[in-house]
Amino acid sequence: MQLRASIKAGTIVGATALFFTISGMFNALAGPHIAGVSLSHIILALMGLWGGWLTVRDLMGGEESPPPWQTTLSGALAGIIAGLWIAPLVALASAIDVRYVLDSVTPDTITILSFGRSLPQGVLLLVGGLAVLSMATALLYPYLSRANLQMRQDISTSGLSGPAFFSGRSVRVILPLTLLGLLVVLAPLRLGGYYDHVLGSVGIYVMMGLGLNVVVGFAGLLDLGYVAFFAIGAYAYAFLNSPKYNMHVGFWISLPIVVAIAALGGILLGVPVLRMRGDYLAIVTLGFGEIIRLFLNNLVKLTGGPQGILDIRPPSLPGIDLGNPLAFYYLILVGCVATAFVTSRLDRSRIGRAWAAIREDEDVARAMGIDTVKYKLMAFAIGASFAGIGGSIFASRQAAIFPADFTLMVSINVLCLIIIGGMGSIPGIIAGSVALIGLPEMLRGFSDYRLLIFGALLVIMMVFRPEGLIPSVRRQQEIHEEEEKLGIATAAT
Amino acid sequence: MEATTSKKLSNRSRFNLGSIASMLVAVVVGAFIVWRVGLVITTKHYPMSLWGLQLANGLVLGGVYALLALGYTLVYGILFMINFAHGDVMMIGAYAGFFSLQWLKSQGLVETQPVFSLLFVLFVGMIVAMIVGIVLERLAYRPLRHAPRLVPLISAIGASIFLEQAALRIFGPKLRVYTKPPLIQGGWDIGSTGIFVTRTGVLIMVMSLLMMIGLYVMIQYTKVGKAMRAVAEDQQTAALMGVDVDQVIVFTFALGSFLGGAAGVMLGFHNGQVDFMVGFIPGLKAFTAAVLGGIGNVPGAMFGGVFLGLAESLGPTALGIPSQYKDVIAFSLLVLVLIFRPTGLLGEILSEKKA
Repeated sequence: MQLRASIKAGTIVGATALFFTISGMFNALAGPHIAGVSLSHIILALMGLWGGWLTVRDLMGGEESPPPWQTTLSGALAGIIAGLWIAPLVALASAIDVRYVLDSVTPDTITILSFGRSLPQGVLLLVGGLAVLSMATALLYPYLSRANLQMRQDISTSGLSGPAFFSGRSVRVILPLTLLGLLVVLAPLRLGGYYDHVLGSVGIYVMMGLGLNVVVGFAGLLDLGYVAFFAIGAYAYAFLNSPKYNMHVGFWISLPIVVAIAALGGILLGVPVLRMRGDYLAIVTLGFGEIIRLFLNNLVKLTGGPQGILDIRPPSLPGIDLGNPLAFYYLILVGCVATAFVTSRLDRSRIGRAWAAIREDEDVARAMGIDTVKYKLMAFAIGASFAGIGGSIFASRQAAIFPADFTLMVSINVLCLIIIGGMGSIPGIIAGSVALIGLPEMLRGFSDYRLLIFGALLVIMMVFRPEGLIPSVRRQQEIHEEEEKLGIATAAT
Repeated sequence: MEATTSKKLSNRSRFNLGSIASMLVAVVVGAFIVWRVGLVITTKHYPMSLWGLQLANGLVLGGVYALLALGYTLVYGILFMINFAHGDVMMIGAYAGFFSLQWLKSQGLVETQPVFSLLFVLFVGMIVAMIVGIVLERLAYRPLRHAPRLVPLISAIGASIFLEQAALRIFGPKLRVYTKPPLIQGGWDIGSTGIFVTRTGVLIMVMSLLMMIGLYVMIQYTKVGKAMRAVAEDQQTAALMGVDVDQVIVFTFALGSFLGGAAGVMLGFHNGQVDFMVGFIPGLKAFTAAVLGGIGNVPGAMFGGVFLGLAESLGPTALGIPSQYKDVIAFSLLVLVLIFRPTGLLGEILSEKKA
């Protein structure tokens, strides 16, 4: 039993460390130093601590906790096992050149992992260091967890006896919201062009997320081809505005036209798929999105093909220049607020309740007299028109658009930000787009690895918090209700 | 009275908006195909050898798609989950095959033991892909088995991105050139028709056919196969009958990834190169193939793969459109099949019952 806990923890930590090594993350992290120690060594040390923590948590899970000497020993063992995962690689890579296969294992990696020593010493230091650190957490764990428990109790009691003033809804909710609102409006003034641009991207994704949320979150229609409407919006505005067709229609006049075209596109997609449900719907919409992109790429005469459409003008208002990132940020902000307002009103309207009914059970909804065809098409059209607005803002901001801007990854990103933020929840979607679009942009320094981390985070998030960061109440209940039901079912078997 | 109401209902449902729209789509698509094919037949006189070449090419591609599609269909049949990362599992298999090939070459075994080395490369690719598939199931899908359906889908998308990026970081961004062993270089002219068949193509067709037959026999006649079918039919009842559902699911993932690894190595030989994105488009295509044949249906996946391969290679010529549109043909086929036969060409009725 003790042995198993050590092996499990050691394997988890060792495999993670091995992955960090062969994917070159230790090299990428070697640059920054904190208090004279390079970041990669700090990460390595944290992994050692993590190993001990995992072991002891596993051991303490049982009815009676084993004696301290045993947990300490198990911790040390976990550290040694973790070390044994990377030590052979270090030895091998210092003997022969493995870069033909493992492109990222450079001599630097070996220097980092053997702490600049010669081989036997370095490897011993690595394994020993991990063992010692892992043992240390194992030894300290009981005290740490006790302190943690104490602290939590302190917080909860002080929270109960706090002054009544702070418990009022007005102060607790409205004050932070006002501050946040002021921050959102005023901060970009001081941030500078690059960050304004990033925030603008976040805003466009918020709009798209809110639009897709109508389709997926409210009506429960899984749409993997949402980028098609984004593309339709962008190209529609580009056709109307750019010199390609010499129409030169302004932004504000083309906006309603773009919305109409995108909504029509939504209905055109919606009609044939009315009878489909679940995954089948997802697949058809995915195919639709790809078809639109391929047409944009290949109809060279009409769309310019891979060369795209250039010279798209930004919107203009009398007396104000809207061509800089800051102005675009405010334009997008207005768009986001309007979208959030409209979708939240929709959610609470009769239409929103009809969507919820269709989402929960289509047959029952129809039996209750809900015109499912009408409401489904409405969801597609409304979702598509928000994407269309987002697309035209995107086109006018970039000034040039290419089919490569409208890949499947855009649909997937939008869907992921909804799910990470919390499906059906408007604050959740805003949080999701900040997390998914904003943070990677900010992490440009570590940019080689951001997609890698993004992929891993998606999986981790789904395993540990599938309802999203800020879930809507109903959605959270749904997920946990299902779990409870299954819990009962498994208990019964 | 009751009879008339039900008749009325069925009448109404026959002429609702959805079916009118699908009829319209059918007419438009049919007219388009007739127009283009007629144009091609009357104006362009392609030589027979071109058609033959396209046919051979389509069959080779179809074999690869079918092997990959089996992975999607096996998993979907049991878990009702789209394993988005399957194409990337195949990519890892292709890399493993590439490295084992390079190793064999450095040992000089490719020349002395040609048949063995070919099988060895294939086997390494399959085994590595299988391990990746098993680990993927354990880490990314098993904890989510009882979650709502969107959750495993997102997890699969995350796993797909992760695998692609991990391959990019671990193996580096450079294109790896798969050199064919002498055994499968070159090819044959068939008679005097001018149709050229590559040895690689023949190998791919033969191997994928063998594997598909093996898989079919296994699913139909072995104990594991029976257990797989039982779990696909009804998980809970199968569990009550003494089937270890967890084990069957792991086995399914292992089997699908095993075949995917073979597809990866074959695609490597066929295209002559591997990079980290090599799994993405074939993955989507194979998924399309699985849907075409009726997802969850094993013979359907084989049929769908070959059908898609043929449609993709013959379609642009037959319709007289540039070959860049082959992806459009593939995805349009997917959309059309789902509109008119949501269960796939060979499928059972799944879309409403279980989806």
